Amino acid sequence: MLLQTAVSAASQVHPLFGTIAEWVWLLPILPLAGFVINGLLSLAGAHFGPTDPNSADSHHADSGDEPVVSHGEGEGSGGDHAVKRHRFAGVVSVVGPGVLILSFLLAVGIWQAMASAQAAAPLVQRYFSWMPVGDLQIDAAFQLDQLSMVMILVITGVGALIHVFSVGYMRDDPSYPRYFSYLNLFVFFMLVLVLGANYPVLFVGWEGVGLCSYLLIGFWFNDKVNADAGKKAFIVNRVGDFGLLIAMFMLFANIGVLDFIGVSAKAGDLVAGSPLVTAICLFMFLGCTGKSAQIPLYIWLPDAMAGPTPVSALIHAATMVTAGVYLIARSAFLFSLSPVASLTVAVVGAVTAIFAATIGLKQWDIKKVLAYSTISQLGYMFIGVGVGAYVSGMFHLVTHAFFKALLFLGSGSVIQAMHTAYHETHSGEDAQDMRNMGGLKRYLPVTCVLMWIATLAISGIPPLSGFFSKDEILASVFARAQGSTLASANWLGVPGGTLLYIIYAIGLAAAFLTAIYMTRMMLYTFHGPVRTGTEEEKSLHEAPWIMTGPLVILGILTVFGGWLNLPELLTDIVPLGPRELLAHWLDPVVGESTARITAGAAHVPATTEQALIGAAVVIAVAGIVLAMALLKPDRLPRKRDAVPEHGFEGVVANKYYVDEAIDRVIVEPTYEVSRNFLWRFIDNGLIDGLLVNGSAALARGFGWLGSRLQTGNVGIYAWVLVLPALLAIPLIGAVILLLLPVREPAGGEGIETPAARHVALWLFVLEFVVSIGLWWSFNPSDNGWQAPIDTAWIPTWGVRFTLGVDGIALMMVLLTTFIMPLSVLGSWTSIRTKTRSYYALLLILTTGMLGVFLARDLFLFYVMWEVMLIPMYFIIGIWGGERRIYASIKFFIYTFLPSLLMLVAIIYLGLHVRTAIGTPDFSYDHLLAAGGMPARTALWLFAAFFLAFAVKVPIFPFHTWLPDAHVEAPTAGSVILAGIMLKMGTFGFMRFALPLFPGAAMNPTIRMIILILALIGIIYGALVAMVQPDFKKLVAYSSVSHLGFVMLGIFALTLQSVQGALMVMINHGISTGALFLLVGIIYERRHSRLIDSYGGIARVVPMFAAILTFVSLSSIGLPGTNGFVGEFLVLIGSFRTYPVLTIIATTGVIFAAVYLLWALQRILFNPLDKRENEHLPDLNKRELALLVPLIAAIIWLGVYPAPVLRRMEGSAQLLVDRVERAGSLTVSEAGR
Amino acid sequence: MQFDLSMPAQLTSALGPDLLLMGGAMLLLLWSGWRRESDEHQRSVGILSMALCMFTMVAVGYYAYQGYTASNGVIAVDNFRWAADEIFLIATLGTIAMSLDYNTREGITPGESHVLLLLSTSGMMILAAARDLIIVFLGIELMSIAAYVLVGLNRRRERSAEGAIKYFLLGAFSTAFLLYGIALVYGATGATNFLAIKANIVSFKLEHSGLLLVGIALLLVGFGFKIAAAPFHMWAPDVYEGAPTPTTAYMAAAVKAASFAALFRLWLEAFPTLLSTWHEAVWWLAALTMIVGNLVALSQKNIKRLLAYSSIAHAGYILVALVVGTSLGSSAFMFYLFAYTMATLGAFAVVVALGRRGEDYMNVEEYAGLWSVRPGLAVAMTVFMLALLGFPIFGGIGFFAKWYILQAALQAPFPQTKLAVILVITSVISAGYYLYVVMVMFMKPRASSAVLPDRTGGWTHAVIWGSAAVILIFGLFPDALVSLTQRSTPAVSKEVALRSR
Repeated sequence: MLLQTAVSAASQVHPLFGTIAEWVWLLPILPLAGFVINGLLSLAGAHFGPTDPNSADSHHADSGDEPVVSHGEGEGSGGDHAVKRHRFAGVVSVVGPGVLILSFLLAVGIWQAMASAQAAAPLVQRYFSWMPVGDLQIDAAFQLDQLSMVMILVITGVGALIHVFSVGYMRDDPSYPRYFSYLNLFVFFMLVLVLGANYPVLFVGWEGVGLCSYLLIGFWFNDKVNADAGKKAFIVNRVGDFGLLIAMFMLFANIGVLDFIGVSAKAGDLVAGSPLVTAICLFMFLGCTGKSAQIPLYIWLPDAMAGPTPVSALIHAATMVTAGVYLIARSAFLFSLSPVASLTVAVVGAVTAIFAATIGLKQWDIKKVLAYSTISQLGYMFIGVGVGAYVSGMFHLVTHAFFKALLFLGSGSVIQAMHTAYHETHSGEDAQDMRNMGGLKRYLPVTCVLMWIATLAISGIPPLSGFFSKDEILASVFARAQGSTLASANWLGVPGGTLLYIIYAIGLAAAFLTAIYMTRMMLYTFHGPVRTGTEEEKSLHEAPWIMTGPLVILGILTVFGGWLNLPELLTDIVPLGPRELLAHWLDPVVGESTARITAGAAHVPATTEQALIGAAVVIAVAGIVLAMALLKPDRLPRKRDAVPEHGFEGVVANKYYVDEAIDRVIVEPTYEVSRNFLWRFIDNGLIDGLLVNGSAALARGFGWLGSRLQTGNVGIYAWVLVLPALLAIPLIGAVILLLLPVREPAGGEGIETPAARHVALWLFVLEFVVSIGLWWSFNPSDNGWQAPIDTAWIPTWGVRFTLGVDGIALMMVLLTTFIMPLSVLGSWTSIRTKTRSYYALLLILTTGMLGVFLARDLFLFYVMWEVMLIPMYFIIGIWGGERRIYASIKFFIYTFLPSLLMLVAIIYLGLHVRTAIGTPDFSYDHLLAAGGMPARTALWLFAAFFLAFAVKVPIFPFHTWLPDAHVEAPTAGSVILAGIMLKMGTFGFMRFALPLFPGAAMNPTIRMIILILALIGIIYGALVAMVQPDFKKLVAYSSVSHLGFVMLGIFALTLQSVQGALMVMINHGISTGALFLLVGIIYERRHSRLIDSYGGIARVVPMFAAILTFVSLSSIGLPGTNGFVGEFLVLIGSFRTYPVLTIIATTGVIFAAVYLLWALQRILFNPLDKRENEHLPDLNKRELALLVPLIAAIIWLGVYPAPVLRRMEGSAQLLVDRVERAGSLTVSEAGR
Repeated sequence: MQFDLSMPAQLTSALGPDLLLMGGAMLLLLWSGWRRESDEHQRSVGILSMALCMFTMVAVGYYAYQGYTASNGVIAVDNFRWAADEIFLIATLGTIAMSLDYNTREGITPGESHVLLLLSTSGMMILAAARDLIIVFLGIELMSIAAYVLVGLNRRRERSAEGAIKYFLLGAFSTAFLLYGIALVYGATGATNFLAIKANIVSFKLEHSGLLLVGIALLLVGFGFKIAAAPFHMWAPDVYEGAPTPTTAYMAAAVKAASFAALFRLWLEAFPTLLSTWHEAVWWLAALTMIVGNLVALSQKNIKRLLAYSSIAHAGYILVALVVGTSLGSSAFMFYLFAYTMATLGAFAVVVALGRRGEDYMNVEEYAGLWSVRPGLAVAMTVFMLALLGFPIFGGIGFFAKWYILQAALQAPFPQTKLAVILVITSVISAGYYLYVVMVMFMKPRASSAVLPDRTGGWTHAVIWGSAAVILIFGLFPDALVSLTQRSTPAVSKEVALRSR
């Protein structure tokens, strides 16, 4: 806290205060606005534009099996269609690049302000509090310093050029606005990434760019390969993000802060070289290997070339993939403390550099060559930041952005030329294979020249930019080897100095290979004879100026980029310009860390340096010459005549079979185990077949063989009657509904008067309004019961009708009243018979659910608990699907048995706290105060409560009722089950099981068992969800996984984890509720929930697709959506008490991405190959009206959950304190 | 006022309501024999019988209100008796009401059937009052003989006759046990009066007398047959299925209730000091009855058989209250009896309403889709099923009945936690068949060949909705009923609690 005050005081007098730098927030907002505009145009255009599915389909139906959009590059409309641009193409061409250019201009302005102010301290701008939970205070804040400035200029500058290029490249694509909306969104997230003032905000950008990468790789989603590649990128990145999350948890658990300034200030508290720092750094680096495509997580990047080429240039070369480098530079204050971690970074970088370079030697796809080249060059950057040459790493990052963007865009020109040529002649040849090119310099002279410049730059030929940056990295490695903290460290038994020499050698070797494969690419593409085909040759021509213009600018940057950081050595000899500009610029950020690494380094003599430079240049030239000498473009066969390669060459050409190995060793076994063992055997066979149905069969087999308002609190709260009103409104409503006149044909079939649904809807809206009143009148600083009411009910038994609301109950009540009107809307047209009874049951159900949340008397609680059961039983059993009877009975029995056991426990408790005159007392407060129960008894009672709640949660292995109930229930039933009723169990744990029996619950053994069950739930639910053929069942199993997080949060019992658990409960209600609504919507149209019945429908129903994607992303916890806030808080809180379990639980984040994205792909993307799906209508107004509030809630809770968190904090704190105090004896005995 | 039972006049006054019912029944018997058998005549006798019942209820109420007590003697004058009487009379009233419609449909014209019910009920009232083994025997015989006839009332049906014979034989069999038990107890203690038996056991230290224990065991077996507790329940499903449906309702509700009332009084007043001796036996009887009744009910397809097994299961629950053996147990018993009687009457009334001439339409599967044609009946039946299941709010008073027994079990001097858990688990099993009925009515589609059920008679309707209303209203506000039952306990039972400490 002190620190923050100090910082904010500092920012008051910051030299940038009052300058244009204060407008830094506008930088990301501009592209965000572009995203919104383009996105809306895209959705609107989908309805009225030329991609209208009907017209496209009528053509499609008779022209064969090729999907219209997925023709690969540049060209959208297929078949004999004349090129038809999107009707909003003009607007988009202005807005898309326009916002980027504005952003760039602003960035330049800010840069000038910074340069003139010469501020050493970063400018931190706090906008609002994002996640304030106890000692965890995460602000939505931006930090502007020299490092982020460099990144901003690269992102907006190169980004603007690529946006302009895209106008020429993509203009004819039918999904042009969608393309630009994604591209703008990407820039927004990228800017958030580099501007974020703390790790969580950085993480928002970090995952956000991953999302955009996913969307853009799969831009032509009707092609399965593209959709696969996008999914692969996202999932592999998630593996890395797992590491970054763990690093954050460790930081928070050990130094209690997550903002950069705070961490750098407190980094000194960590022991340099300690295992802890090393672990933090290594986990963080795992994140970097994902984002920046390093071994072992590089596998996604080559596949990512499936996206449009400008995307490859911007995201997969210039900006996003360098985020890992940026992160390490940003965290230099940590990495410089751990030589082991730093060396690991360097080693991985070096190995990746050479490994990718060898693969690059044998690629035929022009973009694949560039992809492996990018991986290899990223390896160089990691060598740089690994050896503590943060400036060199960043320098190479910048120059690489110039020349690799140039190379990619150049290849884009080539591909477009080729594609147009093949398109004219209706040839099916591969437009990206170099064996089909050759001699293109005649047709694409400008491109050819510019690409040669870039090739020489990347090969390291002076005085081009690549030469300077690469050489600086290698020189730093050499220098560090001579003496530094790294050289004296020991890495896995290898002395650091030796290791650095090896790295240097590898770097040189990789440079040699780079020169070879780049020259090879140029020779095969532009030189020798034209292999395209004689017909096609006529159509080859240079790209228009809107495309070559950006190329020329990038060419200039490639040539002169080296001037950013001219080495001392050179400027001493030739006065080329100012020396080491970048190093001076970045010094305030990384200077100290660099110094820490280079401590004790001897100065490398100038002669040695000159020799090194000479060696590097010789090697580069040798590579180029060798390639020219050995490769004969004239003799190269065309692709269709090519013979597959054998031996080692074949292994290299097949990328060392790494993808195949991963498939064989990880992907396939996981899938098979999940499907055949977990789902078929354990769930369906063991639990259901043997235990559930077996016991029923056994039972059957055996049978075959043989009110007075007398409260003192009236008037304290103006809202005293609000709680009874909440319970009464639905009940009265149900009666009104049942009294409505029936206008139904005899026999029960047919449509009833629509009045019922209107009445129900307005009643629920009224209910929601009343509960909003509760929200406003709620006092967050009061931990006690608010708006309490207390009257006698059955005095002779000591039963009272007492209600009250605290922070936890408040949120649950709001969730309920929020979900209910939506579920009415969700039933609007799907429920056609007996509507009066249906809506009456929904209303009664609401009373029961609210009663559970509000009851302060255990008897009343129990009654309400059971009251929920019957309406749901009927809703599933009457309006459900085919197996509704089985599902409804299973649901009933499963819930009924443990709740009756709980009833026994409740009676026992009530008798335990008998009043003076001997009547039992069921008051929650009295029971809490009483305590003093023998440990054994408490254990048994806890067990009874545990069972009742565990089934509702549901905890593995009590979960098998859930998929059945969800799948068979009508949409609204599933929404309510998932959205509200599943929360009853976890709510019960928080309200009753934990506070009433802290001793039993905190018993280390029991706690560990429950936590492990929670963990099993997280992983098991995800794995089984993955293999579900039925989308509704998939969502149902995902609930098992989500609720596992809640259980983990509750039993980890820290303030953050408990609040996180509450957030997950709310979020799950919203996101999963929305998912079920979406399933219902599509089911109404197609009458199938099987994933295989769909495929590629994103083109037919874009609005549905957009919303389904968005909701799924929130469900898998994408930062910026509600899902992230909950899971993050649970995990960061749990890490404090159970680090190992939390690390395992965090892998759930990866699995979630796997099952949902895979399902999304099979539903929305892939070829549109089912005729039934070609005319699906998109969302109508009612459906939009019911989804929009959910989307709003998802964004609100993701971006600004602070009001919710504040209202819950008091109650959560009370729970933690209470349980810890009472259970501390047991805990301290056994230790954790 | 306290009756002195040694004076014949006072004894007669103490038996006032019983004599009123008996005398009225005799007069009605005469009048019904006076005229030719016809449906109208049957109905008018029935209506007069109901009037008599209500009269008697008022009389019982008056006696209870006056707070009469009595000196020691052959009969008891206490609230336990009055409460039990009221429950019998309610059951009788309901039975007669549904019989009116039933008899019309089945072509049963003798008006005497209603009078037989009244006579049987007067036997029950004697039973509830009995404080002497001889009176117990008298009451049982008076009740049973009328019941044998009622079971065989429908002469045209074979099953009815078969049921009557079975019932008679087993009744005789059980009476033999009872009688033998009475003889042995008398032989051991030299007394037939409950209070005298208790006093003699204490003063002669008979706690371990083999003769007495065998006597008690035989008595338990005899009562076990009457209340259809496992393993003495075998006769019940056949007889229940064979008997005319209103009679089945009567047997399931009133006959069982009366036997229980006698059993409670006998056990609590005569043998409280032998708690440790009979406790174990009753414990096992209760557990076994709950388990067997519920499990076997699961596989029943005929609604009457299903309800028969359900009534066996409920006998098990009630026995839990007997195991508790305190005043709390007996007030829980009374509360349970009331709830059970209402739900059983209602359920059988629905069965009557849905039946067709010749006792057809008794298969649960034939109720498929009932909701779409007779929603009212389906909803009412659901209420009764949920009440029997012991579900809160929707099952109304049924939940509180179970709650009360559970509370009594856990609050007992020796808390019966295991028995409570068995009760709870068997209750869950019972959900299997109660919900099966609900499921069939609501969730199964109606067979296309199914015919609409006949219009429900007005009297049957009254029973259905009357009992549903009672169940639901007391299910929300049970307090008045709870305090009534708390006062309706046999006088002596407090001592049990003290002794067992």
